[in-house]
Amino acid sequence: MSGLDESELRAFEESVSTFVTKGDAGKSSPREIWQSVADLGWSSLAISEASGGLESGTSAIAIVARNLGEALLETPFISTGVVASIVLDQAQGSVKDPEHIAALLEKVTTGDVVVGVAVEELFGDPAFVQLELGGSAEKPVLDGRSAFVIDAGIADHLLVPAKQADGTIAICLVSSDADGVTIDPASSSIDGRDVRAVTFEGCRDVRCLGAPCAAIENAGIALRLALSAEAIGIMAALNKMTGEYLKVRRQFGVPLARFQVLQHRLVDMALDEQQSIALVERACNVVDAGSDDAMRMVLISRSFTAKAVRRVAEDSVQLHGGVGMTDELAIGHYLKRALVIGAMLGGIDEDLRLLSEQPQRPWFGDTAPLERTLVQPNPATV
Amino acid sequence: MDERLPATTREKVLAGRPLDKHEHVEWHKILNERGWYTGHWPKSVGGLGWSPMQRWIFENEIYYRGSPWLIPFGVTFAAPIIYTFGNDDQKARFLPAIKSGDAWWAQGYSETGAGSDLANVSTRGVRDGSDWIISGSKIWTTTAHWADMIFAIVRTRASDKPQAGLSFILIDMASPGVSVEPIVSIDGHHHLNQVFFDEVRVPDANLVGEEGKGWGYAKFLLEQERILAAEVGRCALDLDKVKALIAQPRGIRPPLGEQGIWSRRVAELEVRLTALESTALHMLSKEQSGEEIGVMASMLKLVGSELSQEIDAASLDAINDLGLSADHFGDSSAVSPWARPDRFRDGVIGQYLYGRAATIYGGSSEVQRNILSKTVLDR
Ligand SMILES: Cc1cc2nc3c(=O)[nH]c(=O)nc-3n(C[C@H](O)[C@H](O)[C@H](O)COP(=O)(O)OP(=O)(O)OC[C@H]3O[C@@H](n4cnc5c(N)ncnc54)[C@H](O)[C@@H]3O)c2cc1C
Repeated sequence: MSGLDESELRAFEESVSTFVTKGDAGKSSPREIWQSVADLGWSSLAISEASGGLESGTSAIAIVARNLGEALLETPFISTGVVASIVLDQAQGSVKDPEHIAALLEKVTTGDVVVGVAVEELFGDPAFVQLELGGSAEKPVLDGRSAFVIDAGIADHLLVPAKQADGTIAICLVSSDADGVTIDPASSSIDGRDVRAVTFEGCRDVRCLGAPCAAIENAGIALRLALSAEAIGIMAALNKMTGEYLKVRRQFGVPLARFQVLQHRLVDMALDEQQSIALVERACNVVDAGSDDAMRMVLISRSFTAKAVRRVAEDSVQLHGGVGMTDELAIGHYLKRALVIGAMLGGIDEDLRLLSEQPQRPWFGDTAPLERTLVQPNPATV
Repeated sequence: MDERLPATTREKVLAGRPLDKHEHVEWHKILNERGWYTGHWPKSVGGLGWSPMQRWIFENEIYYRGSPWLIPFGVTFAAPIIYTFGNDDQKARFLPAIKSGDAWWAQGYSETGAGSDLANVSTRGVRDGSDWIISGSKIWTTTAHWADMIFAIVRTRASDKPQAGLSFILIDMASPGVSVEPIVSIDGHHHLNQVFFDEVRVPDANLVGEEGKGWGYAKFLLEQERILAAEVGRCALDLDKVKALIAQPRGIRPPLGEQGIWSRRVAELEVRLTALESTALHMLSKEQSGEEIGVMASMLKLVGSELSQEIDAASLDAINDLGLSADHFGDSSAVSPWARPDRFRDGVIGQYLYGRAATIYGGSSEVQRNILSKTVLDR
């Protein structure tokens, strides 16, 4: 990816921030917000220039995600603007009818098409893919139930992986109103966002985009960074609200902010936010530079930020006391979103498991000083 | 428990779903058939005169076996104050309906301006002949919408020290001028309320003990409740739930319990719960032998509430694997047991969310540490 330079990023940051805070985005439906995002041209950040997109790199994606997080806005950005954009863009090279995909991407860019994405199965262990693709190569048939398809309720198309007879995985694109597709009527996600279970019964209107490939890996990287950045936005909002609350809430004749334990808590919350900012910024740079260290940095970012945002949200509830427990205050809604961010893609445990499987790298320089001694078996145990 | 706890009630408790009022009352009445509902009351007022140890055994046993929370406001909060500090008329008027489970009570302590700083209450009582005219409001009042009566701390006299001048008054919720506004909490349910008193007339006969001594009675209550606040029985049940959750296969995925990290996490929680239980037993035996246990007993609420949150968090993490679309305990029959659209409010997630309050009410963790720090520094 080419990416935006520093000053372009700063200008972009400013316009995104203005969009989420000054406009009427807070009162609009997810689809209306998405239309405004598209009108501003930000729906094609992840699409290559060759396909008519902005190809702006993960730093720009992170800016949008962070601002959406801070304003707690729901819009199909990670499904359509990140994952589907990357997968469809790169699929053009492997399908028989690239014009069809190009036309669809065009509609993604204009905001006319939203794509629901089965993120858990797309980026999880292929052994746990629930859908089956039968029939023949010319006439595929899709069956099964996918439990966690984000934005399926407002989607025009669905992006789902399916297991084929030979055990390999095929990435499938299905029109959401095709025969044999049933989308659960209600969202099941605790943050109230659009996440549906989708059932496929003998669905024949399936376009196969080929096997999972670099596109899926790239989309997974961008998605993890977007979630990390969203977590930063949530921490920023919570830290601001909690700090302000402690300054105005008085007990024992003084503002709560006078109590040193609470000051220390606020400091810990700020440290979580600051470290997350630094990590995600670095990870985006590493990814945009095309480094082979990308996946490792991305896993570190998501696991750190997901843990941090949950801690910050739980502390925000605690420091607000009784009002923090109400549905009326935004704090609880941020907490629920924070929980979902941490639970997606198999959760933090899965990030850490994958991280432990990444190739070991020296911290500094080209070699690790202890490498030799570490791989030496202990003679006592041989 | 096995014979008499209604199956639907037990099922709801095990699934972490809130109960309806009638389900609570039904259970209170069943327990009362054996006198167990008021087992901790002295025999002179119709109880069984249980020792703290007997009560500890009873409560842990029933909560571990899926008993609903015995709503304490009447039977455990109001009643002891009434039978310890009230007069015969008050005992005769209020205790029978509490014991039979017919009267539902609420606790009117907190106000918007008086949370951790409880002595700062501003709800006022002004004498008018043989009545008190009460004005002000109470907040976070659990199940006030079901209540027949509320006990409130009310400022009946101006004084230099905020703790002085407070009185303990029993107010009929049906009195003209009382209104209840619901507060929906983080789990999407209505447990909490704000209660408004607009010149509510309450007979002087409803003021317990001496006028202006309400703070002392409220304190007395807190001291009575310290050891049970550890809630070991409920934690034990919840820890078993974690074990059950990680033992069950997740669709086509193997159980989480097969991962070393999970068995270790559960083992660690078991270690901590056993330490808490031991500390409570240690204090109970000291108390039994007449030794003064002191403020250190409030560590049980502190440690217990924080541990219960970690147990709830473990349950939550155990249902993480398809995002948090799930909210169910113990059903692996569905295609995707985790996707139960209509149920997010209930069960594991609801319990985790509402459980965040355990470190806020009944003396927040910060306030408990403040109190304990004095004792620790004095050693
Ligand atoms: C679910 C729930 C049920 C409840 N049920 C009832 C009920 O039935 N009846 C009733 O009367 N009340 C009830 N309460 C109220 C409860 O007792 C209060 O919420 C509690 O006393 C805290 O007060 P607050 O909410 O005003 O928080 P605040 O006192 O404003 O505290 C906010 C934060 O500041 C911290 N803090 C406050 N003072 C200090 C200090 N000196 N040093 C360090 N930190 C400090 C607190 O620990 C907390 O983290 C309930 C509350 C909840 C959440």
